[in-house]
Amino acid sequence: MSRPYRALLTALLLLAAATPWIGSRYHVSFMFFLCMHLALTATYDIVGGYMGYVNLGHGAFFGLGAYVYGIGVRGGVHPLIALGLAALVAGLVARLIAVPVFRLRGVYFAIGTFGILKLLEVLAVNLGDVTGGTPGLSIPPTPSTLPTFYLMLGAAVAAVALNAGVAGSRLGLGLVSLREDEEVAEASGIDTRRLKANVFTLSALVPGLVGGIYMWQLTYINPPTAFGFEQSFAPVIMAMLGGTGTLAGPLVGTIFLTLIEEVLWSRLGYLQLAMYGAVLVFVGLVMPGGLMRSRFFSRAYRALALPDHYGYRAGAGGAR
Amino acid sequence: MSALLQILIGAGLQGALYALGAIGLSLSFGVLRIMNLSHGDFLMLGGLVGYLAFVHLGLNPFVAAALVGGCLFLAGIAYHELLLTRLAGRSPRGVLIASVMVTLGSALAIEDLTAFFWGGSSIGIPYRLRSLVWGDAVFPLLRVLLLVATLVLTTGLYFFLGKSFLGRAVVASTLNREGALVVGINIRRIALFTFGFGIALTGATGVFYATLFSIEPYMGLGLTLKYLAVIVVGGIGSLPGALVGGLVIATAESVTAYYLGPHWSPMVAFAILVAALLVRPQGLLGRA
Repeated sequence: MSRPYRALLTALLLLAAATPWIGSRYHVSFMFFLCMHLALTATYDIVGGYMGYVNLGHGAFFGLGAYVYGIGVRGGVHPLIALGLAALVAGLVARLIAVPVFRLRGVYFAIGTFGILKLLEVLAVNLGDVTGGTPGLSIPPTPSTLPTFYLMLGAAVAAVALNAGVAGSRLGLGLVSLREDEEVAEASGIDTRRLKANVFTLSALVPGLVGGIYMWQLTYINPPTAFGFEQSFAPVIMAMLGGTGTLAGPLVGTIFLTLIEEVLWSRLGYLQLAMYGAVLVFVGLVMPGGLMRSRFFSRAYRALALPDHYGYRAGAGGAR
Repeated sequence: MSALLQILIGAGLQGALYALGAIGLSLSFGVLRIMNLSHGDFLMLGGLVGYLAFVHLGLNPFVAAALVGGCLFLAGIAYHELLLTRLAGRSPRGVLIASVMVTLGSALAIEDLTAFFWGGSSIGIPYRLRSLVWGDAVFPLLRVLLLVATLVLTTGLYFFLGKSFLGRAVVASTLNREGALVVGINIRRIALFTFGFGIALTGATGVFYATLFSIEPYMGLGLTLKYLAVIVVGGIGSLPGALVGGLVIATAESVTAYYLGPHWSPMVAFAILVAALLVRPQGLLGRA
């Protein structure tokens, strides 16, 4: 990692960590959700960006984590252990799902994962004895929001580190070659089936954890929030806006869109989904590689002397 | 016995409606190779326009359906020209990612904007007719008429796709794009027509849907998934396939609702979708 980029990241991290001490409650809550989106987006992009499989069901792991945490805490489990369980269950379910869904490719994979998300939502509604059904599940609130804030910050840092770690490693090289041509990757000795399943599982751990932290902080979840548009599509949209399969893409996309969302939300209070939709359409039509591959940001990218992972400048990554 | 019969008749009507809504998605995917994730939203829009035509112009649903079909044909053409033609010429993965972005994005925008202007409540077209009584069997006239209308539309579609030059060109383009080009079919114009036609058909179905059930702004994406299930079961670009898929899913839903309770029926289509995708991992195009 280059020095200017590292300095920028450190400054951002310090600012985020200092928020509870220098900012208002509003700032803390804003930063909390920014970190949440970042954690979801950075882990989405491991599968969606480097591996090139558009996973519309990424929010399913978030929802699972929230429910596991809620059910655990109601059953008297210590919050930290419940968080661990949330991540674990999300990972296990991902491992199970990976077997069938990776028989699909391209748009069928996107549809299949979306279908699984919807299946889980209906299950959460119908298994009312465990999940609280449509009215939702609530747990007693905790006195301080500091622990959850720093946990969420930690999750975001972990997610970004995981994303960067995967990108720079042999694993990432395997993923990118799989993305570019699955048959060739297989022919050159990559066990694509195992690689896909492992990476999918890895990408589910953080969302499970994040779902648990979300539940800890907000103490209430219902099926539409757990498995709805916001949690499942926001990471996809943010990653695509920033540029999938680039190191800084998820970060830039998340900050950019969360800021816009916040302005819209405080000024208007509605039309949030329409804004997401318009951004998606615009990016899809005008700059399919995302912000980080647009001309302006390319210059900034070079100025920051960021590493050129796998032909980023050649435009080989993501949507090209 | 009569309860089960009633269920099956209801499922028949429901299944025909599914098939009519899904065939447009199936044909345009076959020709354009773009999965339109906003397809279900056009059913919702069609139902809404039909509702407005019923309330403000006093048109009965059958006339309104024709009007809506015309309006949405133009809307589909505009959608294709403004958004989808720009994706042409990209690499296959570029088209995949950009088409998910564009169609999912427009689905979200359509749903949210509709909810914003309309208020988000669910509405149905309050058009009611008396029932026909024959012996001790009761036939709700409206349902019978709707069934007749869907049957007429489906039969018309069958002959259009099978006998007319335009229809055969559409089917040829779904079967073999290069082959269609070789025999002189203008794929670009066929794609444009197919897309508009599919949207029009879905919109007209939306009017029937709103008369029988109710519509609400955020129903689109769930409905698109349901249509995908119909297509995956029945096969791409095939009208009989769409009918079979629609009937299978509608019957499974009704039977599930009857035996397990209505709250389980929303799960049926998704379960069938996932299962069907897995049984046919090569995807929708069984022959490709």
